[in-house]
Amino acid sequence: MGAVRRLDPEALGDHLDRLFRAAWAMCGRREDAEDLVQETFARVLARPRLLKRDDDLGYLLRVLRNTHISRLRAAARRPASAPWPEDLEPPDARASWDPVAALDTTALFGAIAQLPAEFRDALVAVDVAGLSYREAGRALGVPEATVTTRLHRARKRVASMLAAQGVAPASARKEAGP
Amino acid sequence: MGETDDIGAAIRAAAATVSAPAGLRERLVAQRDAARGAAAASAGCSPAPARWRPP
Repeated sequence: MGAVRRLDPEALGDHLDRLFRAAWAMCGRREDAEDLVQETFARVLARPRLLKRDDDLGYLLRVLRNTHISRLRAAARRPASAPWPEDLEPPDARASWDPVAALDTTALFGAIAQLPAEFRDALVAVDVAGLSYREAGRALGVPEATVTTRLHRARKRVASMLAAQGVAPASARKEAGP
Repeated sequence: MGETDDIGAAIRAAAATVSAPAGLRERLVAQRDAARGAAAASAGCSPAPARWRPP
């Protein structure tokens, strides 16, 4: 077992971009992502955090996820609102789609946020936050093989959702099928 | 898996273009400074340990 060490608050800024992306993909809204990240950091900074592994981002992602779940539960007790469709940009009419260059971030993160939680979390951990499969497994508390399976399904679903909006690659449309 | 690998690459590429807003970074620094200040104040205000006296 590795040595226990304290999470360095000074190093939190190093992970801010990736946590913000992860938060946006969880919430589906940029504004909510800012609030979520801020609340996450407030939780982390409230007391010293001891880590067993050299995996600050995985730990922070776990806190982010827990904070998101807490916020969802709190929101469920309030009258619901569904602003995402109004914020969604109109479907892209491009005939061809460059998957690397042309993914619309707002549509993408909106689609990811609509995934079932276990699929969303795997995709956010690996593709959005950049964790390895092993790190993602640790952060999510599931075996690495489970991350692989969920990630595969999550990507297919995202491609299917984006295809419905006209912003997914033709190959993904074909795979998503009826 | 090759197909979904391509989708994953596209998602990673799109995500990499997103940066945290400057305002959020500033708020993080303020949060961290406040937490550090609170910790220092707490340490400074804690009572000194009682001196041991022989029974």
